[in-house]
Amino acid sequence: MEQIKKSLNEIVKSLISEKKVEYVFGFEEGTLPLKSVPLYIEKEEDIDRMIWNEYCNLNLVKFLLEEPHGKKIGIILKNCEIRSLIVLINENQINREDIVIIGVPCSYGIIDFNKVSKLIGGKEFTEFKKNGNDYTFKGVDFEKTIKLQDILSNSCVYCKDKNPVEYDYLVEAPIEFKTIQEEDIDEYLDVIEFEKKKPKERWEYFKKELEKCTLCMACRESCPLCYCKVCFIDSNQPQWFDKTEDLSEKLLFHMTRAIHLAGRCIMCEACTRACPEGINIHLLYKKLRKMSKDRWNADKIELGDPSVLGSYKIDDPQEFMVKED
Amino acid sequence: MEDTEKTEEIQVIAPTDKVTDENWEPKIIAFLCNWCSYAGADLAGVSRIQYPPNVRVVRVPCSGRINPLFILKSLQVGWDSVLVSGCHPGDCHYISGNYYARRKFSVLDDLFEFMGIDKGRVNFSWVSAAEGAAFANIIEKVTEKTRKLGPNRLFKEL
Repeated sequence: MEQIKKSLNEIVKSLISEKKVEYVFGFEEGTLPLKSVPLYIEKEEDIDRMIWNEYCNLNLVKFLLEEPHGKKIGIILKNCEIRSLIVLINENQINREDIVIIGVPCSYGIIDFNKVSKLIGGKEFTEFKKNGNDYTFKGVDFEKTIKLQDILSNSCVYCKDKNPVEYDYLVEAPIEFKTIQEEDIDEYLDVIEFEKKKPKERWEYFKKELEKCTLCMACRESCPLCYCKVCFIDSNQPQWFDKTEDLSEKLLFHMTRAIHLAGRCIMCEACTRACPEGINIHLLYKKLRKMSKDRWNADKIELGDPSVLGSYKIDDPQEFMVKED
Repeated sequence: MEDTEKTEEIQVIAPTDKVTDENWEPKIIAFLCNWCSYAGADLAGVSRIQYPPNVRVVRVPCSGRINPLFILKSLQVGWDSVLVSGCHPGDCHYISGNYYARRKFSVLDDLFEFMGIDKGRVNFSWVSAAEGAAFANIIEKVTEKTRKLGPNRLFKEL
């Protein structure tokens, strides 16, 4: 971590002092423990406030979408976030020339706040201490030590893609991640496990999970790939949704959103981490990513690739078609 | 609002008749592409080929025009099943619309499979303008399939 921090500081300092960018997006310590907030680094003295650690778990790319074109901006990103930036560049939302990417090899992964709060029973903690891979959370009437493996975001558990694929500056860092994860597991293990259940169980699972949804749109707002000016759920011409609390509306919303993310989802799991009800909504999107791999062999998104639903092959599989006798 | 200019006049209307389990008949909404399947349906009519009267047709310019949301919404408002039909691959009036449509349909198909929803309610087919008999045959097949599945309570009983 220290090495990453030092290397980051040097890069950001040179970018700012040589005026290569207008500002750099980074993180600073939040007001609550284990929370980070985005930081605009405009001047050299801002660099001291910058942090980089396992709880920098917001996707800064989301902020780039609000910036006007033609402004040179630096941004510190992990590989999953770089993938999301690549999708946005491919879809002409962001100009590659405007962005200076500072790639950081992901050594730890990031912490899922929902997992922490589940493990400490929904209580509020006011302090936390870090000792190697052990995290000690202290609240008013409790103290609990949790291992990093248990609170790591699922996306990081399954992640196999830790080194930046596209960058202007690369931060040198040793990969410490392998010590946390002992076995080599399939990237789509949770999807494969879920597919083994009976159809009825799966339908019941989704009904039960989505019943909890309050349509707060946290998943949409946290998703780096959701950038429509008017979302289909907010659109009133045509009005697809009555904005009721009905379960069918929730199912429809999440199914349609999954279709919109089909083959685009970069599996950062920001949606699941953002969900205040703790719904593992990412499972749907991950399934469609797996599908695009199985069907069209398109699961790694590289710069310049066409989108999965915006391209086709003449011999795409079509076994699901109804045929006449 | 920003989107008032590009008004899309689309409404999926629910079947209106009072339905009980005794007099229930499958109601199928069919999205047919203007150039092939709609003409195919027309040919079936002109050739006086008999097929079940359970289908209601919505004409769309191309199968590529069909948003998966149309299909989901149709099921939500109570249609018993949905049929989507377009030109055979390679025959699209707009050259490649049906290829894009095919990708969208496979996404929807896999999503239904994954969520454990019965896939019989959503049907995709290719029917050309010359295939009146094939159109009638597909309608028969889909109607039969829907009859077996029973009334659509997928989103109703939630």
